[in-house]
Amino acid sequence: MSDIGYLKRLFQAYYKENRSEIPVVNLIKEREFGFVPWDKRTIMNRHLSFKNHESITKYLADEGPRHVYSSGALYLEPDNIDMDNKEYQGCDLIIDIDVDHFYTTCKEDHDLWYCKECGKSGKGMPDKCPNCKKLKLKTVTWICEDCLEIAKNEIIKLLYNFLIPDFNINVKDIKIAFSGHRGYHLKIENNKIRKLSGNERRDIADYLTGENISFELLGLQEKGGNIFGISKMAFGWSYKIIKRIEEFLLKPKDIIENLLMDEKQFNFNKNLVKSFLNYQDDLLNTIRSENKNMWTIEGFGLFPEHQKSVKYTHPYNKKVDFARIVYSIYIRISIFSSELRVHIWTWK
Amino acid sequence: MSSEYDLVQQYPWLRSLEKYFSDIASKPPTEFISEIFTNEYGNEIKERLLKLFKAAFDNLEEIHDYKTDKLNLYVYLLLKIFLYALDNRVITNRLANLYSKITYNELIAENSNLKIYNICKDLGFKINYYHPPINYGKKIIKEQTEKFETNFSIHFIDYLKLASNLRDEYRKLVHNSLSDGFVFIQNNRLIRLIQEYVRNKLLIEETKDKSSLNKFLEKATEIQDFKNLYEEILSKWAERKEEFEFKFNIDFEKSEDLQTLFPPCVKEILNKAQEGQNLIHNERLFIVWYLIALDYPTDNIVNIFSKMPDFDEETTTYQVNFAQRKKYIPYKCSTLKSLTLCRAEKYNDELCLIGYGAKEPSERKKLAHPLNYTRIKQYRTTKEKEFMNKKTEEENE
Repeated sequence: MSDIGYLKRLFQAYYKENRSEIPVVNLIKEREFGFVPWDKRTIMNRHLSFKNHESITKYLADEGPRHVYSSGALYLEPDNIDMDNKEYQGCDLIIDIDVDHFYTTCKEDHDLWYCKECGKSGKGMPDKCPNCKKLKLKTVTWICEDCLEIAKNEIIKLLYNFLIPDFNINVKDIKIAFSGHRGYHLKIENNKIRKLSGNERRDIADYLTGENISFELLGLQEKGGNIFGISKMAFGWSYKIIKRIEEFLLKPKDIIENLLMDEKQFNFNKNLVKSFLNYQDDLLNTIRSENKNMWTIEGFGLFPEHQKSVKYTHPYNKKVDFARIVYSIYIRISIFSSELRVHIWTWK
Repeated sequence: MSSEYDLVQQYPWLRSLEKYFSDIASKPPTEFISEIFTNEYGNEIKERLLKLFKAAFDNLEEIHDYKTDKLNLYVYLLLKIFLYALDNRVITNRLANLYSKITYNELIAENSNLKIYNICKDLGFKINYYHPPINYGKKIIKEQTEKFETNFSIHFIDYLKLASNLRDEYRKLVHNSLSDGFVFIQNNRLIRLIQEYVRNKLLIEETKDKSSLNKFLEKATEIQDFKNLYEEILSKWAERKEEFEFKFNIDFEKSEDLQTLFPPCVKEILNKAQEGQNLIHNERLFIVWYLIALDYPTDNIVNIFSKMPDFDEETTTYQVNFAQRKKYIPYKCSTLKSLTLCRAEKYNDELCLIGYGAKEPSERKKLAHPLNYTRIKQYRTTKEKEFMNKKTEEENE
């Protein structure tokens, strides 16, 4: 028996023996399914549909496919091969967290890059070649346990800092699954949310990522080195920013000192750290006060120098500013999949 | 009569219209039309309707003596029938803009939060009403404290449905106070969202089924009053039509028609302007910066805005000149996506969606800036021309 034949039989047996553990797909009749068979050419069989859970478990046991996918979108005719004739009815809101798309410190150990322009190579995740500054980088990425821990943490942040407190999403409507390799998918199955358009979903994505956030519109202003603006009595992003600063200021002095001096974090020099620590209690009082709201911290500003709006970069960006605080709050979504009507959702 | 009934008479775009006026809904439209024109208020209704059309064609933003009495219901229903019969997107846009602005002014003038709450409930919005108003934030600048207070919070789904098409930066969810699924919203901003609801309610897509439209017109124009009014509106439109259906003269440079090289995001904005739709702030900024980057002269750019309801030549010229001096760079693709101005999918544009640079899709580069779109298209057109010229030369030889 060929290797492929052997693997296929192994998968068939697996699906047969574990039939009861195969998760039930919500609204199965309205979803498109796709399968990658055990074949030399790994082409996906798409535009398939199933009437019920039993029919798909039988299919899996009979065919033992290599990969199984179902659409996030719902259709009246999921098996129609013409996308325009499937009659789209809505789509689950799916948030995709892929850890290889954002910086983690462990990438310095396991990710490799090679510059096609100058031939330089190294470890880490630079956005351009540190030698010739060109963008033509070839990369080899790896996912380690630390990476997945970080991805899990993003999911926890997403749930407890955003979806539950801000959007009041019912936990019963939320499903989380390992995406199969690089991270996790979080899916919201709710009829009203399914009907949201692309523009409306983009607005939610921008809320989760803080994309194009304007401090001015949140009420913050910077005048002559002083920062004025929002108080702790706030909701949404205004509250998140203040809360984050407060959490930072509540840390013990030695931890703050280390963070501020860490060149991959704030990269303050000794004098700036000393000045910051002198004002730590005053700043904490100001933030907690109902009536005071002016902060002056040496080396601390709303925006990076010469930049009018927030721009996120990985922690190599050594500027100390509010953008960095936003960076520590937002969710690192790699692709906001639900915009795509044919998002393929893997369950294992 | 119930207060709901009175509310529907005043604001006939409410959902309760079907509940309280089911008799009208069950009638064939032509029967309804002839009944209206023959009743004692027929002439008054006709006059009010004509006034609306005239005001829209004159680019007015309000009608000072607009009445929201019991006849308003018939004016609204007739307006919808006429928009269907006229089947013209530019006219529909003008009327939807004007009618919704009138509604906004009426609702502001009401100065009744309870009425606004009842309207929102009628429209099916999930909304909270706070009396006394709730504090949801505070801004302290030096010694001055500004408290944010409101009577309302609206569920984020209803908020997004109404606000995401408006696309102003301050309306984005990220800049609003969101908690427990509800967005705290100032009273006048909520009324602005209701205005948008009313505008959308009047925006009927151009009729695809032309044969039923023609059948309807044939029957409706048998009613003399309808025919007269229909023709009068059309003649008023004919007088003003050219001012709306103008073409932009922007293919100025090097005798090259650059319009064919515009990306979908730019085409969409130009089309909207051409159809008499209002442009939001970001659309205005983007189109100005984009055309400036292509070295378009000020006059050509100002011309695009010349038919906007709020057009002021002096201010626009100043702003375009200012942008020219500042050399602002137009938004990149990711920003356009974030501002929901990207139209790659709507136009199914291959260059935007698939990218460029290689035949193999996985090796293609993604387009990152709309100016690159024009550059690439320009390059491809030049290459095609060169190829064609070479081919012709070879054939001639």
